[in-house]
Amino acid sequence: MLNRDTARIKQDISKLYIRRFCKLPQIETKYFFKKPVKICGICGLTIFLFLSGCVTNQNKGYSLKNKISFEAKAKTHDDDEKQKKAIVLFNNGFQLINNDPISANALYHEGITLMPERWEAYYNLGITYIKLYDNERAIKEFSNALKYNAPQSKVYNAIGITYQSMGRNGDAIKYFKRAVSIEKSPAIMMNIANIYQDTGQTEEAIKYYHQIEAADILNLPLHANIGILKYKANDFKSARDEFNQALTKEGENIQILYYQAQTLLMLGEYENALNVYQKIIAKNPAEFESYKNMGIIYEIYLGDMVKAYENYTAYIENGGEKAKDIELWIDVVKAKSKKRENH
Amino acid sequence: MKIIKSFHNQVFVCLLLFVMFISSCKTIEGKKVEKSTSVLKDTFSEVELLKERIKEWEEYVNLIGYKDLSLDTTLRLTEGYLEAKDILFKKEMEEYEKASEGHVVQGFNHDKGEMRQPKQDYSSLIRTFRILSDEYRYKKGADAIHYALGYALYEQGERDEAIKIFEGLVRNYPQSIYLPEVNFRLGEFYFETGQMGEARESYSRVLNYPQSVFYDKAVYKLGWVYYKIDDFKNASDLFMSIIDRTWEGKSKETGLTEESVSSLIMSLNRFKNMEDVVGYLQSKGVRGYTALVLEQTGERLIQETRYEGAIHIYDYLTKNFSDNPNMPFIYEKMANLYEWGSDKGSAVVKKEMLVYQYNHTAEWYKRNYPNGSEKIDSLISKTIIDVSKDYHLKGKNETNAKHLQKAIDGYRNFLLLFPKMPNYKEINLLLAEALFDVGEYNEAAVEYEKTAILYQEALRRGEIAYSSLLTYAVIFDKFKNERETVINKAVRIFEAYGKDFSLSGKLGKAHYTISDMYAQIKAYGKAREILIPLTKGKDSVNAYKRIAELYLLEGNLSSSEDIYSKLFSISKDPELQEILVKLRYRIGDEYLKAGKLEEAIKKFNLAFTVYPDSDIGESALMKIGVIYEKNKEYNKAVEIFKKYLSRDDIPPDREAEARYRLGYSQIKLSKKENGIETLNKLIDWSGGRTDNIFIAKAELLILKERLNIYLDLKITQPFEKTLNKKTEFLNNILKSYSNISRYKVPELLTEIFFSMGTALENFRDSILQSERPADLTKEELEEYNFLLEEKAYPYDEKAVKVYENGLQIGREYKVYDEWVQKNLERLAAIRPVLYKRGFVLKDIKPIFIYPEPVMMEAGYAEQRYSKN
Repeated sequence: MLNRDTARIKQDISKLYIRRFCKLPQIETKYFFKKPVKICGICGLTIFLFLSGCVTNQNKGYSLKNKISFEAKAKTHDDDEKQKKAIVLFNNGFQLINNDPISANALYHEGITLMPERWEAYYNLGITYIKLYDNERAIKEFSNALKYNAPQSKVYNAIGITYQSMGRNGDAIKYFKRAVSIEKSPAIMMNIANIYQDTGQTEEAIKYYHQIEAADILNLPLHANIGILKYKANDFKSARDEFNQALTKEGENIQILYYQAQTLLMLGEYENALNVYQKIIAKNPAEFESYKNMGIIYEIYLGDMVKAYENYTAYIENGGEKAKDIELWIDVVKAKSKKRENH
Repeated sequence: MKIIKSFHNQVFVCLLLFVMFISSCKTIEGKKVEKSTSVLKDTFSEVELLKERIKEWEEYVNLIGYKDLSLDTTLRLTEGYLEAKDILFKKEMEEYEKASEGHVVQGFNHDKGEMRQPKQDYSSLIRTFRILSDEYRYKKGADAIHYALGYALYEQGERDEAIKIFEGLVRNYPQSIYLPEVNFRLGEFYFETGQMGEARESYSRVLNYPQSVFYDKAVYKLGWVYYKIDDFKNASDLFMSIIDRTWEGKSKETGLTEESVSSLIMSLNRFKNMEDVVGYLQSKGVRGYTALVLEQTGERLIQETRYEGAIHIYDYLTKNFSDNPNMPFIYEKMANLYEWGSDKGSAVVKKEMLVYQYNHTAEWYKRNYPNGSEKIDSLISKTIIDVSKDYHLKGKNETNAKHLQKAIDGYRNFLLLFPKMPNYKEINLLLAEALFDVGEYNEAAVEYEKTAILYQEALRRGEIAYSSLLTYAVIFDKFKNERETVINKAVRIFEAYGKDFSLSGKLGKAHYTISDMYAQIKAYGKAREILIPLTKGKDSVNAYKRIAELYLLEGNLSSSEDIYSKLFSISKDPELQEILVKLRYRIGDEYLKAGKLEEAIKKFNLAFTVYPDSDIGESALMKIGVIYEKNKEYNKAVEIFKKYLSRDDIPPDREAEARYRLGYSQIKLSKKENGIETLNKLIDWSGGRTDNIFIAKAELLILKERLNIYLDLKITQPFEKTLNKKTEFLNNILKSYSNISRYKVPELLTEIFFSMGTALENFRDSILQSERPADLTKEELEEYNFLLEEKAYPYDEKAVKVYENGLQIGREYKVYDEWVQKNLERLAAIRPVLYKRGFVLKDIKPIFIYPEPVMMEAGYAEQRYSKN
């Protein structure tokens, strides 16, 4: 799940992209940046194609679409060759869509100019826009997919998710329900339940969760979501049980482990919480917030100053943001430790 | 003994030969007799003729002393005489027998001598021939007179004299043609009288006449002489020599050969041990009858219960005569012998060899029984079944997989070899059972079904098909990965054999079995659906019960309650009533958990009213009170707890709880006096018990009321006086809290420490906020405040220590309740550097399922999900 709170990343994504790929063989470009920027060949080509496409739409300057079209006529490329090239572009886009949505976006755009009748291209293009937080464009592309006979339930679900990302829960539910009326997909029902949960309609949410439970779909985060619902209702015991089931049946991931640990803190089960935080650290040793929470448990609830010291120190070493506060706590821990020694 | 009887016959034959010999001499008298006989046959009766002959002989021999009789004539007439005597004797015997039969019917008594049994009388002949033998001793043919005399004496019972006559004949007539017979007769006499040396000599003399009809008999009897003197080897040699001479490929039913075989076997059986027997036979080389002898020797040993010897013989037989057509039966006998000797292992080995080597696919079988043998097939099939059943039983009892596997192999072998045997289906069923026992459930289920198909009778077919269904149920339980496939197979069986299940009375069980399987995969809808047909039959109540249980499992409590409610209204079954009450109680709990207090109260109320005198009814009433209490509807809570306490036989712990809650609710209702009174009564009622949390809580609650009074007490002027009053109050309060710690309830200790801390902090604040004297200057006031702070500070320190104790108790008892948190909150407020800490808590949001990109080549998009 992309972290939508980090808007900075959203804005700087292009820069990061360039920085990452500049380790590859470089070419110099002077067409699209005010200052000459060294970028890798693939990046350069992709951005070039992407931007040139945009320019075409505005009827400004050099049009890649026209160029390709012209070249196609000039070279008398037949439709098959176009399609072959489009497929290659689409497949490359498919490979990049999760880790490099910008490049994927450009490849889909180019592919669509060559082969505009494939709904998959619009659908995947829409997904790239979701990943780039451009929800309006995402909805537009999903709507385009529908024009080319895309499976309706799939597209409505995608539109529903986009609306949910935009905070337009009413519209999201409307599209999700349309999707479910076509295909009783547990995944879509889960999205509906989640929106109900988010909007405090607990009973409706539970109703949908139960329907999913009956379908017995193992790879959906059903228990995790029920756990979240219980947590929000301050029913921490039930939440703990659901998270336990989620971790057993739906696989261990850091997000659920964090929720589980948090639930255990609420229940005052500090030792169990420690175990969960240790699992989180085992999965991601740089997870500094876990060190902080473990330090507090050791210092305050278990009275183990040595372990508290170790965890507070680990928090600072792993780039914990509130290092100065923690340094003070470390001093306190040292003092408490000395006091005990004196006793 | 047959041979002795046959001997008499032989003697008679000899006599006839003798008569014929004598009659071959041509004399005048002979011709006359022949002529007269032929004439008389036509004109006189036969009896008259015979009597005439006797008379003729008597007349002739009466001439002794008057006339020199012709020896030839005498012998010739004697021939007619003996013949006539013999015929007449027979006739007399016939008449006697006829007469005795008739008289027996009419009550004839032989003992009274009314009719005597005829007796052959040779006295005339003996008398006459004694004279002749003496007078004609040196004449030609005298040996015949001696022989006839000896014979008559022997027959007349005068054996000693007869033997003397025979011995004289042997001694005096070495060329006599009667010597083989006479020696044989002598042998017989000596044998019978136990004179084995003489018998051996007499029989041995017969061996000088190999052409004699007495030769084989003499050899045979000589064998017996050796047998009698325990020389079994020589006996066996002689018996074998007869068999060798007379064996015609097989033993005759009767006669000397068979007698010799039998005698040989007897002799062999008397050998020192069976190793010697085997060694002896080996030294003799293989004969056509060796196998037969060995086989019968074994049988004889079995009859004599000499099982080990029999096994030894059979072992030699099986190793050296494996092609013998009787070999399967030898193996069967060996197996039996081992079983009788309690060596079941060896018995099974023999049976397995029998099955393996002699079934109808074996070369031996094809060679010996090209057209098949029902007898062998029957033996093999019976043996396979016996061995397999034996392995099956042992394997099952000892949970020995190897044995069970052998049983399975055996049953399979039977099914392969004997597809047309009438017990084929029974064995197929046993195979299924064995597969089940060894844990090969899938194969077992298939075999059960195969067996079911073989049965014509629907009832039995249904029972066996039901076994198949149950086997699938076991697979379903044991192998969770295959559940979907297994349930489909079970359903197929269920649908295919529904009618048979019905006839065999298994239909209901089959319905429940399938339903349970569906329930386990949480397909509750299908689990209920399969039970619907049962709701229309005799078992409808149980079917509905199960449906209700399925609703319960699914979490659909209200549907379950509906069914139980209807069932109870129909049957009024107390068991159902209890289930219904428990269910309502449970639904109440569910509502309680979900925060639906009104619905919860309704259900608890129903549970209580339906079954008020039960434990569950009592618990329900308590729950209602607790809900009212938590919902701050204290007047209702008071009412309920009073109702609860009005009941009889309340368990003491529950009564303590109810009394505490009543007091608590009364206090909350601002009926403090009533509340305190109720709580005090509880403490009095407890009789000093320190093991009940509610008694401790009651004391704590009473103390809390005192704490509230203390907290409100302000320090005013005159300072010293009010300070002392508050100090005294504080000390009392602290002492009382300390006293409550005698209740060993860690959960309350944290609250106690918090309350003590609160009291101490209040004291500190009361000092600091105490009323200032009115006439102080600014400087004096500052100094006064400073002094107050100095006085207050120790209480601040004391409060921190008490709160820390509360925290420490939490650590020690691992109790992290709200009171620990409150202690910690106060510490954080008083000593923030030391205790103010904040966990990093993340914003918890549901996990949405984001669309996944779709591949292009596939032509269609397979939906995949990602958790973003």
